[in-house]
Amino acid sequence: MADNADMPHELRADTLIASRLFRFINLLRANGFDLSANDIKAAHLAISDGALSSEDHLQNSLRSIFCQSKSQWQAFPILFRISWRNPQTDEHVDTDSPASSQRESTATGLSYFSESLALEQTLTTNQDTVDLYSGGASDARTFSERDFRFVFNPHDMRHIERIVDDIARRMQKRLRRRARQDRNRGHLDLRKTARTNLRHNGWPFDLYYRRKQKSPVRFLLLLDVSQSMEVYSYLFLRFARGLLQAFKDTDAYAFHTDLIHIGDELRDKSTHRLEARLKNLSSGWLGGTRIAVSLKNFNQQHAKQSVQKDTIIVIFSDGYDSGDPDDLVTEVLQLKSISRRVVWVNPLLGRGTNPEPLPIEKSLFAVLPHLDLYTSAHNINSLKNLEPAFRYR
Amino acid sequence: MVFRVSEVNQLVSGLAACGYIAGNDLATTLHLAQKLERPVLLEGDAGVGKTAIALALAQYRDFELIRLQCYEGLDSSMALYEWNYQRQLMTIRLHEQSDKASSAVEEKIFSEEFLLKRPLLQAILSEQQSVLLIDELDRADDEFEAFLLELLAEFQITIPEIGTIKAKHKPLVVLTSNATRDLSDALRRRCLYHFVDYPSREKELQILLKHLPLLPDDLSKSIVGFIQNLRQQNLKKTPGIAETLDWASALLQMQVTDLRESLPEIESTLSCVLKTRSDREQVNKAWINKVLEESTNRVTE
Repeated sequence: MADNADMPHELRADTLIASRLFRFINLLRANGFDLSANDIKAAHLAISDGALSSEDHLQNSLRSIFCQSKSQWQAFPILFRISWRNPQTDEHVDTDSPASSQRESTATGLSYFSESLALEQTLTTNQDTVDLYSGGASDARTFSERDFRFVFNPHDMRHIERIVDDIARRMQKRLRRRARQDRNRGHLDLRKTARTNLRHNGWPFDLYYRRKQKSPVRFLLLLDVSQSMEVYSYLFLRFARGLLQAFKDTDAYAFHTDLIHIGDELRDKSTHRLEARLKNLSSGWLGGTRIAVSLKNFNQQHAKQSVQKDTIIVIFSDGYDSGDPDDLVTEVLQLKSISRRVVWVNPLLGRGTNPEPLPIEKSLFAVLPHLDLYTSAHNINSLKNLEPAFRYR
Repeated sequence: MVFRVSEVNQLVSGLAACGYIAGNDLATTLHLAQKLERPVLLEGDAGVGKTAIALALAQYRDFELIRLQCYEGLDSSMALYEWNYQRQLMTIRLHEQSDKASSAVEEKIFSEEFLLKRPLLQAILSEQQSVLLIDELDRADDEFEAFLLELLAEFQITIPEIGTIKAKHKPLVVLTSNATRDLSDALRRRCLYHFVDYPSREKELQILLKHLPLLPDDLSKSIVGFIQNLRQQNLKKTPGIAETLDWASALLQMQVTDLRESLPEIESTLSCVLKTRSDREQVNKAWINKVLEESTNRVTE
């Protein structure tokens, strides 16, 4: 700023504001805000034409220009406070402070469902911690291939959460598009058109189309939340939540030593309520696993209302079962007989590297020949590749 | 563009005069939308008053309100324009026996006269500035969203048989979404964003008194306290402002003056507030008493 000493006062003020705005934009970008040149231009216009008259007006103006979603809307006041009230904060942040390390250590596993807490924990206050200018493709590739069990940093976890939500959304878009293309293949129903238009002397005033009716996509998700799945269950729950909110006819159950219906909970849009409801349900989670017993329970009590002939059943589990493998085979066959397809997603499958693949559990080995698809989902890439499992044709 | 704080304050009081209690943040967004000529995307739960914003804004600005209600399967023929096929056919029949050249008939049946104008075309052709409300956009398909992007960018449409029509006055566009599905990033980028949350206790009280001025002060405070507390309960459908107003007018009709002494009336009118079977099943006298007690405690605090 020493170079600006000779500038007129107004110009110095403008330069200062522009630099503050630039820093604020960088902070927002570091926290996942996608800001275009138009947004920045609009912010400049708002600022130069009077939005600076009060802090509230400035915040309100920038908030409506820069935010694009509810989560950004909620995070904005914190970031605004950090950047505009205390501009030094984003230059000197002590990332090794006991408070920050303690917060990181508490935010693991299912506790991540506390989104409000996670939001505060993972807002990047220090631009130095985020490499804004370098590290493109190779970093992104490594990140996409990193096993979920090696994600310890809340910021990375938040990033993965966003990708997981996005995968569910993209899947919905693609599958819905396919369903719509089918639906659009309607053609003129000549017979009905001719018959109905007899009253108009055969002139085709009223046209009728015949459309191929396609049943909607239905999924049933069975999620293993036992101890052995601890590192993956949270992200699978998050993924399941995205799917449930994207597809109307989808239901979900969690199992460990028992089976719990979690469809209504995951469909809840309020994260705070979801968190509270899952906490109520989660006694016994992260304990042992009785897959066969849980599936038997499902087949006997819930299958009739949750599964139809065209339902795709997806089981997220590592296959560690304390029961008899034959029992598991019986239950999987039962599931197969009432549904369109049974898919087993085993996150451990991706852990096996050359030359030796990871040994498969005895129970799972017995079930393998009866599955329509057996696949892995241990990192972002493999989760993205899950789409074939959800194809309805 | 000139941003005047006084204009924002004026908008707040103007909207209040039209029956909408808006905060400074919302008024700033609406003000910027008009100055920057950008659409506003309002997101929030059902019943928080998103649609009412557009209605009040149109009333305050004295603009025509053009509303497009979105639904699954909505296409350009229902949103933009459609040829009046039956009328075209009728005209062809009428001219069958006449000497008129077929090209003249063709020109006639593909003129503006035979166009069924849907809301988007109405907004473009409007002689005066209008508020275009595109309600519940999340219910429409992705293709429609993509189509809307083009329209919002240029405010002009091309009808192959007629040519390109450009908007005489750019409408003030208000899009609402209940977030049942995620809207595309491209659309979000083009809009100013405002998240409409459930109102605070004070704001809800103002809304209630604005709409039901005959409601006694104490009763309105108790109603708002009860509803605010109800929103903290584990309900499947959280009551919005519309529900509060419905319930308050029901209680007013039943001449209730004190909620604590009107348990049977509360029980019989709660259907105005609780709209799902599972929420209704939770309700019994003990539950109502508990919510009443909690809300009274909060008011005292």
